[in-house]
Amino acid sequence: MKQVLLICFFLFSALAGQAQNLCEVNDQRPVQLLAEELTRSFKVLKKQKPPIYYLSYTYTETDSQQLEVAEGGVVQEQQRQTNTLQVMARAGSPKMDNTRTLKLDADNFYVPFYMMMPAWSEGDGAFKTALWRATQTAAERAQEDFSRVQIDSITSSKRADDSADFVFPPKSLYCREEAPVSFDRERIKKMLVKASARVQGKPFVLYSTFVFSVKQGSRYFVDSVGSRLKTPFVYVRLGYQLYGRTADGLDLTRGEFYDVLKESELPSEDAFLAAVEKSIQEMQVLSQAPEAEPMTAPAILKNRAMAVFVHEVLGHRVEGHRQKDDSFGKTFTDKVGQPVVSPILTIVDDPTLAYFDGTPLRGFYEYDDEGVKSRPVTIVQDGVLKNFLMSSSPIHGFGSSNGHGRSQEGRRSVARMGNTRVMASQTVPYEKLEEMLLAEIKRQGKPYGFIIEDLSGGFTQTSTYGPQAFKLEPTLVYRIYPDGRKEAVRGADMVGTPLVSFNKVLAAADDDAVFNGSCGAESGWVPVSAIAPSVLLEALEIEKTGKSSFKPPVLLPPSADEKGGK
Amino acid sequence: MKKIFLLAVAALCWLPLQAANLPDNIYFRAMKDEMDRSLSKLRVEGSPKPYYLAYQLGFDHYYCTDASLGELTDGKDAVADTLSATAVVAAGTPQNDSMGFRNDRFSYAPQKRYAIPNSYWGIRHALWSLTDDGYIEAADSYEKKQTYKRQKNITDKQPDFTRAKQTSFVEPVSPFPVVPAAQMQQLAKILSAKGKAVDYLEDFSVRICLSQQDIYYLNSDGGHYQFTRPDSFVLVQADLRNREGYKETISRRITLPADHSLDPADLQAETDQVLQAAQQLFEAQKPEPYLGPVLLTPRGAADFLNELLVKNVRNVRPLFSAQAENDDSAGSFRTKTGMRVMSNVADVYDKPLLRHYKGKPLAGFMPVDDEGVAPEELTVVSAGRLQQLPRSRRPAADKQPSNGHARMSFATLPREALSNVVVQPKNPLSKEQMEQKLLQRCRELELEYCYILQEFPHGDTKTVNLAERIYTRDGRREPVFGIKIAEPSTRSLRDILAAGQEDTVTTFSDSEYRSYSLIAPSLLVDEIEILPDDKKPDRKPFVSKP
Repeated sequence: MKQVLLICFFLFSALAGQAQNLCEVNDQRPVQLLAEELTRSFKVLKKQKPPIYYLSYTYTETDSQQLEVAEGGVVQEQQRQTNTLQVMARAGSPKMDNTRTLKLDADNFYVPFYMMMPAWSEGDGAFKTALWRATQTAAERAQEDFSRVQIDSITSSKRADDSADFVFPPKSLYCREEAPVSFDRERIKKMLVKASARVQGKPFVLYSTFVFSVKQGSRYFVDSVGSRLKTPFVYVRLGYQLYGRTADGLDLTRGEFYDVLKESELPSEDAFLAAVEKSIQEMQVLSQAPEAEPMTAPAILKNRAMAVFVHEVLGHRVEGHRQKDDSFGKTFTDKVGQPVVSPILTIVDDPTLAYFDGTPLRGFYEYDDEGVKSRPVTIVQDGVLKNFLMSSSPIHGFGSSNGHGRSQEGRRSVARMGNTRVMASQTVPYEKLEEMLLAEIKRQGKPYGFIIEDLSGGFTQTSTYGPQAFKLEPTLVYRIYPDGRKEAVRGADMVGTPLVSFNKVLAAADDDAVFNGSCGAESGWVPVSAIAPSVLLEALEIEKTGKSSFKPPVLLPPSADEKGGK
Repeated sequence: MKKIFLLAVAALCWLPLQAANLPDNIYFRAMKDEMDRSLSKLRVEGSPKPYYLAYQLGFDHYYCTDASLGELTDGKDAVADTLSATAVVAAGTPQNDSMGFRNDRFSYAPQKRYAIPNSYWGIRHALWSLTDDGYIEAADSYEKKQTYKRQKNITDKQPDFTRAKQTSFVEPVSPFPVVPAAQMQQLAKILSAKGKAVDYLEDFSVRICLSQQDIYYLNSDGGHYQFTRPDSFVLVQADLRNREGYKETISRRITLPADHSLDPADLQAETDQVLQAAQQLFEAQKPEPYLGPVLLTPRGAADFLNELLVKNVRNVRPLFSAQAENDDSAGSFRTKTGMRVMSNVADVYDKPLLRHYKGKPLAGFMPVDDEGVAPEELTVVSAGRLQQLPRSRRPAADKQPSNGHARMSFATLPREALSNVVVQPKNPLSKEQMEQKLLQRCRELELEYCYILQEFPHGDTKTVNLAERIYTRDGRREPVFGIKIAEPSTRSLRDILAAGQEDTVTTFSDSEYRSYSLIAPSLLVDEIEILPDDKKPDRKPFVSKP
């Protein structure tokens, strides 16, 4: 019941977070043009041999701004408007089509046709011609790819999961518009220039970058099932990253990113500069910190680190397409209905959330990139695996999409995460969690435990060719001694296997926080969010980080050497 | 002792003088300060120290508008300004240094970084990083080069890097113009809309770009330059499926004047020419095998001369490499000075100080070379014989001194290259005379027809997609496409029978991305073998064009 209430609350938050500027989709001129050409082409293409049995157009109008600053100067400042078209043509039949990943060919991942488009606004002749040309090319490629799939299906070994390649998405009609957001770029530029100057004179900061980017626009989707969609999108990011390297070749990094939807959500200049100063101090501490030793010990994964941990270690393994591709390890494929994580955890992926606790979520979307309405999916309930994240590629036991087919523009959609939320059935204040950690360290007789403050990413091995293990790269780790003393350490990697690691969660705090980022996988980079509380792990294995073979530069950075400005 | 004292005083006097002569801006201040710091402090124990540094900063400004069939496809709200940096680091001594050696099979590039902060400390920071990386690589190359020389028993005593008088060229950088965005967008739409009425065109696109680069260069011997290189252009491109079902593309790059001005009437005329060429390409047929005289239009002649002559007159000093015995990037004419390489129909010059030609900026303008030397005008070919080669401060086997033709890019450290190649006919013929001479020669050979080529395959272009067949009997012309040249050979340079009065400027970029201009007249070549290319026609579209 509590979960249901939480989900209802999230839905309310999602609706409250966005103005409902609904419109009539069939009145949208791009939709009309796309639908006209789709109808005209599809009635011919579906009669070809092999037939094009499904066709969709995704037309995206994007306004983007990019500002990069370093060392008190502007590196790049760009503004651009682009119109792009992606054509998905499926040749063959839903049972077997051109998008199937080949077993015997290294060049085996289908890529839809993608091109720049002329504007439709002042006359539609150029738009129509470009659309026609793109359709022709996409259909030709689909037929060619289908012949490769046919050969592969004859010559390669039997697939473990022989589910169809495609399930038709339901017909959807939806239209929403949003007024463009604007920002005071000059103010932001001055703030970034000021912040970047704070780094100067610090010998332990070798490089730094300060960025502000805005990407916003509308996406139009039309397909042969009859779906007609217009959805707005906006991604705004402000942040910085500092880099250093120790004499023994260990790379160090600290940074902070703020994802917002409007100017009022940006941090104030004072807050931003304070964050930069904090990162500088952390870099200094890390540059002088002792190196971590390999060890297994109790640990706290702080909220945002836990969010990244769940995303990397569990999230990618419950993406539906990985359950039927024989090149993946399928850690959870046969575990539906079985406990897979600690019973205190419930994990939901809910792309319908625009905000969490006042923080905008990058993983929000209304319809996925295959035109399927997004919805919350309970992946794990009280530790038991319930669902996979599904695109329109069905798998055994999961015959339809649950609105998680996602891709970067120009790439084929596969099942991806949106907003991944970890919830704990019992929580304690964070201070209590640290007390529990100290007690656990003493109980196990360990010399110290760990607090993983921040996690930048890492890799998780999902291929059958390697062990089903992960190696994540914390960027800020503290040893915590039984007397409560904390000491930063550098060069610590977290390693383990998913089935073991998640069962080690002993307790959670009530300090849920959001990690906003971009996730890269076979369908490209997609914006994602993960929300989690801090958790106490009974045991976490720490390894030494790999080091660079290169030394730091021979001379100090010029501003550090000369300790002054000009 | 007195002599040493005087030398020391002279050295002390020379340094401030050098600094005082540099332009007073953040670019030169940052280059000078970081160069001084690196030369005085940059050392790794056990490795040779850096003895020569050169920095180049390129500040690119551009604004482009794209349109297709009358509508915009890509637009920017603001000019993109990007500063990039390049560093050359030589370690060892001038007698025996780290340069001239390739660490792997292909790479001989300076340290470079695209997009650096446009501030004093930002530039210094970038140069610091590049110099450090360059020094580590130079120290590594130095050791490997010494090992290679010992293994190959190379005992040549000539210095790796010679002294040469350093020079400077400084002019105020031109402010990038206020972009007439609305005019550009309107013009792009108007020009690209010309393709709308042409049924067989699958796309007709126009890109208008205003672009320039402000360049700042300083080396540790005192050579420096600062100037602006304009590079604005219009690119018109037609994509079509011709009558025989082949997908073909024809494009033309139109260089804009140095002041970036747009002349709508001129651009309309150029666009109409592309459409005429597209019409010819639509109607064109594939060639039969042919062996005989060929008339090359100025553009075709530029391709021909570039492929067979200019490509062979560069990189005069081959690089050492443990990975490959032969340096494929070294020009094959480097040992042919004094030999006959071309017929005596035209002379060839290289004019690095030529800045404009017929109102258009030249890509090879070079007031100071990339080793700080004043470039000389070269007579490359005279009376059919190869006369002068481009030279740098790294002498080749014949020990010739630099003539100011060391050129670098992001892909190559300074090496010998031409800049603005000018082909000057001795007895230029009019267009009509050239065609008459072609027909006359074809009749002598009892050929039914001969060819006029508007292109000659070059670089990665394998085929000519527009040419004309001209009949000897009545002068009738037919468009031809899909031409492959059978084994292009430098022998053809000696087969040139005549050169025309008409000429054109073509901008090329060599395999190391150094840009240069070639001013070429039309040429009549006595014998070229032509074959149809191997391309196959495409299927008809599933659905007709809307």
